Amino acid sequence: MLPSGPSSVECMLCMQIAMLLVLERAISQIHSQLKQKSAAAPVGTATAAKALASPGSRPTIDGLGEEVINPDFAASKEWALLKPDELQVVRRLKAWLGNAAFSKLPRDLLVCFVRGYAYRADWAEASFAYLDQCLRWRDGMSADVIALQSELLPPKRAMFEAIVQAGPIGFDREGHPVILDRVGATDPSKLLPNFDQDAFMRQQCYNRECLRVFATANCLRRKKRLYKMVQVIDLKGLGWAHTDSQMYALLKHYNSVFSWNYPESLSKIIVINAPFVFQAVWKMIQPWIHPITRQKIDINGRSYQAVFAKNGITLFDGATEARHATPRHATPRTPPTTARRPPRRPCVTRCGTCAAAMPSRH
Amino acid sequence: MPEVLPGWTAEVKKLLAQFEPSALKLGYMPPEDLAAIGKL
Repeated sequence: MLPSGPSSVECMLCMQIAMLLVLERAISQIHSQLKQKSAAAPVGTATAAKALASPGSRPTIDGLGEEVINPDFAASKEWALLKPDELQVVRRLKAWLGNAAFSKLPRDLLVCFVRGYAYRADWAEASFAYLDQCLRWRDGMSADVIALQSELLPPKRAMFEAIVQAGPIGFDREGHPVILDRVGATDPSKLLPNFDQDAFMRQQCYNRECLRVFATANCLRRKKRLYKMVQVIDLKGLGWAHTDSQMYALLKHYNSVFSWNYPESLSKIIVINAPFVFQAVWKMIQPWIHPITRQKIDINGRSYQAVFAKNGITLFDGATEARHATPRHATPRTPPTTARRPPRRPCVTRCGTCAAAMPSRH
Repeated sequence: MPEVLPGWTAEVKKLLAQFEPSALKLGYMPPEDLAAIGKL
């Protein structure tokens, strides 16, 4: 039996998404051209910007020159130790930040900002300028502790989690956490009246910091640095309501803030249950997306099991880490001595955590 | 695919029962890198 064709609602939905993307693209190009012109103009602001970027002063985003790709750039594996040139960038960041601020800097963020701008000719300056911006945002959000201190739990948290369903569902072959975001199941008619932009951003900041906590625990268990995730975006339930301009503005703001403040955080995006026409629209908008990002995105309909298998994704039983977080896997609060550690047994669940902890048993 | 997700709050609560908050706050870095950065 042949699959049924796209409905008119799906067609209109995708057309609207495409038009919004075209509009956004056009605005971005105009903005970029204006920026280039202002940078080229020999006015006082350009001189001031150069002065800000002079050796010894703290670089700022406004003081950065146009993005020039370093021809010698080669991406590092997440788990690879820092190379000498990366350590040189760390040294410069430390000098700009000062010892006190540097010592409080989350280590995973440090590496993400160092490696996230390694492709640029002004590597150290760009890393610092964007890191500095991020640290100011993190201060305002109490991001370092928002997930760790119960009194900072955002208001109406239970309601938000019921409306915006998200969480870890497994690990991929390399050990990256696999995070499911049920975007299609999010009901804008419940979300928008209850959470304005500030409240939405605080909830999402809490989500991202919970993910950082989850990722850190994952690294500690595996003794392996993994700061990226596999994001599974489930579009099941996507409808007209999601094209609401208020919803679009919310998601656009979220994307603009979080992409700057959490660089180098995506290993792969797997879209599932995408409407048939969405896949066609994806082919149309691909040229606008950065090639490195484009390679990471995989759009699928209802049949996504093969993509999961290709990426070596293993789901938790019952979708929760708790099922696997038995004492023998976890790093307890007081590290046990060798004598106190229970004997290892073959894992029957073949979860990612066990695979890392007991490779010889699988 | 799971039908119900426990949510991030529940996930983190479980992790805080297993790890010191200070270990989770600073993120992970291999000891070799920590040593190299300490010498900078």
